[in-house]
Amino acid sequence: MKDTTTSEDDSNLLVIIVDTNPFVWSAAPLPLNDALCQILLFINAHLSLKHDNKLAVIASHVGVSKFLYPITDDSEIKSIAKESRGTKDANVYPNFKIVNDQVTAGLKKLFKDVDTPQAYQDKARYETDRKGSSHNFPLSAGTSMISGSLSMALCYINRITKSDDLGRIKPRILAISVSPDSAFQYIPIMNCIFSAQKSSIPVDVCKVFGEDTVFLQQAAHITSGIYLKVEDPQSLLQYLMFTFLPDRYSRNYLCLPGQDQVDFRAACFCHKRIIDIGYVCSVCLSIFCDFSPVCSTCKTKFPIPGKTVGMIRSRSNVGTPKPVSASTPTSMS
Amino acid sequence: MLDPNEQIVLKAAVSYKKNKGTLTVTSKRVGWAAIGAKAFSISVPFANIKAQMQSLPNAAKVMLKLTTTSTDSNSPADNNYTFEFSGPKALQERDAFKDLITQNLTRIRGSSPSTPSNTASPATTPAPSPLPAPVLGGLPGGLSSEIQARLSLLSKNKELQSLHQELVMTTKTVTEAEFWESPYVKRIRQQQLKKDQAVAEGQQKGRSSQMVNLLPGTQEGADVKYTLTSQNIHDIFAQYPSVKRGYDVNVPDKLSEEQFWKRFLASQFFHRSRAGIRATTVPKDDLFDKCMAEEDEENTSVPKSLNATNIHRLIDLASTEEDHVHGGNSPDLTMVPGRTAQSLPLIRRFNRHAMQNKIENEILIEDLEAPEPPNKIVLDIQDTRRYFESQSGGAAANVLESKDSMEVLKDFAQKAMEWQPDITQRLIGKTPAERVMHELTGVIRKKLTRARAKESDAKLPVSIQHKLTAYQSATNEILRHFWASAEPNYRADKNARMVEALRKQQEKARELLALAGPEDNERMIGPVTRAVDKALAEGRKKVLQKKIAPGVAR
Repeated sequence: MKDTTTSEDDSNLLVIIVDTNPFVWSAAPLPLNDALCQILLFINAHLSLKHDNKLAVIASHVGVSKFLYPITDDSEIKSIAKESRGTKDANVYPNFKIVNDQVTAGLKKLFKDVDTPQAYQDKARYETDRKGSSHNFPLSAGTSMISGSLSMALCYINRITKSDDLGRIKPRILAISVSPDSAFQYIPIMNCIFSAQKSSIPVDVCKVFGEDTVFLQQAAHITSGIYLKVEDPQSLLQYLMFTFLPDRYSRNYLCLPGQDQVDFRAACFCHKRIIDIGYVCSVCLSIFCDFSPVCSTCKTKFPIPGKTVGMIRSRSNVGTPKPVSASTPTSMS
Repeated sequence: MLDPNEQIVLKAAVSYKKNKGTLTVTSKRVGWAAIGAKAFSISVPFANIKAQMQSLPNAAKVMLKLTTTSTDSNSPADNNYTFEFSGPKALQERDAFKDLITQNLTRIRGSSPSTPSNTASPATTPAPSPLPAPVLGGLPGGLSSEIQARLSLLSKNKELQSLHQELVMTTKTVTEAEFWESPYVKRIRQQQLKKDQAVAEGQQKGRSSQMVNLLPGTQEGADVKYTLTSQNIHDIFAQYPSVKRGYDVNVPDKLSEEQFWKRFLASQFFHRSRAGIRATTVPKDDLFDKCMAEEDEENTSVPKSLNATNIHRLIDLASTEEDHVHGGNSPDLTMVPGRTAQSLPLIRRFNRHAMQNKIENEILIEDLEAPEPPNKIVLDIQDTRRYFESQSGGAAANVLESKDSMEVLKDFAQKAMEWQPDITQRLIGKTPAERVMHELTGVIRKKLTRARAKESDAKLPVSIQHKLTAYQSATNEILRHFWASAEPNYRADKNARMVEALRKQQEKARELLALAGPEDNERMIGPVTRAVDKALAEGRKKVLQKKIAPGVAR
């Protein structure tokens, strides 16, 4: 991890990734509109802490991720400005107003396009026969493009830091997430997490509702970010202000709430049960709770233990602890 | 006159200072007694012998001279004893004596590397390194290689050293032989060997850039013996291409290989190259005179392969000249190549030798090269989805019908269109906000208390830690010996010794605990103390058994 020292004079770049998965939000206890109001207020608070604080907002939609702020397309900026001139909040600080307007307009445009999410088939839908998971919402997920958003965020941060000569910009990422994990995005998400770790960019996660996402928990843990699960979604703003407002410099001196325990336990591949002792395939490292002669992930054949000569036996028993007798020390080569 | 353990190894008729007598080499010293005398008038223990010299092979008298350190405090200078071998087989005897003395010297010197040469007593002086010198226990005749191995093992492995110290030296619980036979010690030995092997293999010696230097191997009488290994021959060919040419032409047709090398060694060419320009005591040899002529010619002419454009980049100094402009010395005008014509051939030869030692190969370090892509079988994950899904713990999967999803999306879009965020209004109520505050504060408090609890790991002071670990390993080793002597073949004497030792260890444990403070330390060495108790109980049982049925065969 890059060794970065923070100081009071840093300008902080906050990149917010808002999970806008419509399927999940439509069944949420807090409607997206209200949530967005609170998020916007939080954004304004961040900008008001220091005059040179910077911001970027990325929407993580189903099948697509898009920059909501800052927008580079001039024509769009103009059209948004024109639209907002009609509104009644003339006393709003112009910086805030620009941000709010751009974010709102961007989201509206995003939702207007109904076809992209429809076309996006998250293949996790094939699994029909899994039961027993209790959800707050009757409809399914489909998952949002969190990997795409993370990549965009990292690239944007990279661009900004490269063009920053003094090295005073300290970036961080805040992901406001509601959707569950997508198995297909595992590798890209992990890659993003590792590169964030390398550049020492903390990834904070605010889980508004829904089940705990292991990927994002691990992301927060490894990048020394904060993972917070919101108990009362109505008071989302309070959570945001309390936990995610302090910048990187202040974090050295504050003790912020967060989840320390990350569930790293292994689950067996066949039943998804958490196990302590199991069998590990020496080729693909997949974990099974019971011995099987063929590994189901990589199709490697393993001879059945006990029926073949001792040498091969040790290979297939990788992962099983052998009881060691303490009385007679066997000569180990 | 001999010590009880001393044995006579060699004896010969030797005169000293014109007196006839017998020179004897025993297992401990060299002694000379005049004929008829009972005791050695000159007695030199091996440790005192500094050097030995012999007369020239074809000298008239066959003599052996020993230089010894003096044990007499009045005359600290070395003593020189000159012995003349007068028997019929004088030469063989003298050589046999010389060899034997050399052997003994190396043995003595080898087994006690720390002994300074001017102490009188052999071997057991305490020296800078705390190693006990005679680690000879259990070895027949004291094989020096085994001793060496043991000593090196003790010096490398601290744990073994402390164990050895405690068990063998201090308390005399275990004898040397038993100690080195224990399987635990053997295992450590194997591990050490493996480590050494790995280190040796890891370093690859580069090609030797020594010039060919053939010393006279051994001198036997009038003949001087040279050993020419194949590596030597290869080096000679590399350094002297004219020799190689001669070899190619003549062997095996005209000359046999042996003859070729004989002539080579006898030739003036060879002797001349070894010492520059020297004596003419060597006969003329047409083959090698030709070689000589060739070499001279080559050396005097300017080397033709000075490729100014193709210098290897690593040694090309000109390329970085511009970096070295500042500072340095003014160019030396006295250095002109080729000024002293006599040294020219020599210098040319050295240059050629250096060039030949192909720089390229030496520079290529294996590790820095790009590794070849290994031929591997690509991992074929059939069901990648399932592989990664295990990570997410199998969350979710009620399926959404496609038309439902469309509806949801449209509905959502519509709502979004109508939305106008107004953040000037109050967004959250006071009570829920306060509740959240309390909740989060509680979370923080828990985090802090947990963090504080972790830090206060009571730690032992280092010295006590060392003592405890030493106690633990020593006790374990004693227990090992105890059980080895209890089953399957019961050895009463060893067992009894072990029982004694275990009792001592128990007392020691009590001491240590008193020193360290009971608290958790009792739990720490708990397993060991329990094992000791069990062993003692077993020992008592065995003794009782023996008493009850003394005559019954076990």
